[in-house]
Amino acid sequence: MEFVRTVEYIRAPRWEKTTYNRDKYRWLPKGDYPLDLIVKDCRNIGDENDPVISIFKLEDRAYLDRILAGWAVIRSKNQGVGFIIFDENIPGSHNIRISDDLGTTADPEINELHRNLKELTTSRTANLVNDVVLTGTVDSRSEEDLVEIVIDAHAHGYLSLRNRIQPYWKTILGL
Amino acid sequence: MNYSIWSSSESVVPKQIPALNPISTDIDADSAENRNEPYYALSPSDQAITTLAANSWMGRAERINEILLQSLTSSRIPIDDYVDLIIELFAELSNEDYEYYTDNPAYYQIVIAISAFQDQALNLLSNEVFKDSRDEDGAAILIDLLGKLRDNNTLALRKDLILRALRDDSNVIRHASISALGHLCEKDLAEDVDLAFDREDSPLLRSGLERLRARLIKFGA
Repeated sequence: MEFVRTVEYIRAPRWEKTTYNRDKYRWLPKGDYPLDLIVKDCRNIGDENDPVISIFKLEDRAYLDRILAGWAVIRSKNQGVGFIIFDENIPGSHNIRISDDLGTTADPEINELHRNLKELTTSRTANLVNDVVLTGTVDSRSEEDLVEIVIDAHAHGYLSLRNRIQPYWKTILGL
Repeated sequence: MNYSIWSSSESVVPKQIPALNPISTDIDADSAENRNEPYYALSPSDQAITTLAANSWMGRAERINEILLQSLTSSRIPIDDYVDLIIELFAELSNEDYEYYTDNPAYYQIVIAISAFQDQALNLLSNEVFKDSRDEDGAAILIDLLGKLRDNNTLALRKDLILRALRDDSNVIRHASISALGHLCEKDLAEDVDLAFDREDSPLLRSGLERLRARLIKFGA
């Protein structure tokens, strides 16, 4: 089993370890990565006393596009998406709690796959990020890719929570 | 092509006075129906300036307006001001306070600048995008923007810049180039995409190039 975490499209390469093999990253200690991976891509959606990072359980990679579609349509704009797939054991190995919290996407089945990473500390989060970069799989979908994925998910009837679909996407889907 | 045609210490007489609405509202037939992003036909109009002012960027919006007016009335662009302004805007693009970079007023101000100064603005931006000390996230956003603009007057130069980005040594910049090429979706890009795929080591970028190639075949080629 795996987890998937979305990031901004333009930031996806930051999560691929080959990005850091070049001369300009000579300052990086082995197995360690730049601070922005935490600051920009692991934003806390909880509060100071209960920090939370949102992820989805990925039971099968065949579900990936469906997760991305459900995730995309509740956003007001389309700028593509980046994502990192990582082993389900990584958070637990750093004493990060995984909470089964229902998602808010427009796909009710995908909402069941939503998880929150909790009890996050500075060192746990840094260790999580380092392990994810080291062992995870990074990919991205451009704006055009995402439109096709969303149209396909809609055609299959996955996006049934229509009140959550944002106007941008409703226009595309003809809703 | 030499992109370093300007320095911040010289003034340039434009070859022609910039048109007020040079970005065509004509949507090209090249698979445009398959793209759902907004088409940027912004002109330095009162409406755009008003929008910028509403975003509390009145000072910069006014400076752009002044530069545009001066260029129209005196035939000389106050280039030092313009260079400073563009560099300032460029630095703002990767501002993390914006969930969507298209919400960043700097993005629209750069669109307006390109619409007014066309090749000159693109040359200036390319100097920023490809310099050693660049902000890579900001550069990536600009490259993506170059693919989104719908302006035939600057198409050749924009395509040139995007393909240059596809050969950049930064994964971040090459990734943005793939996105921009997807926006352009022109069939004559196929060979460049194939060559890029052959030399690419990054699994992320190879995956992106594969999908781009499929898209070019489906909609462009």
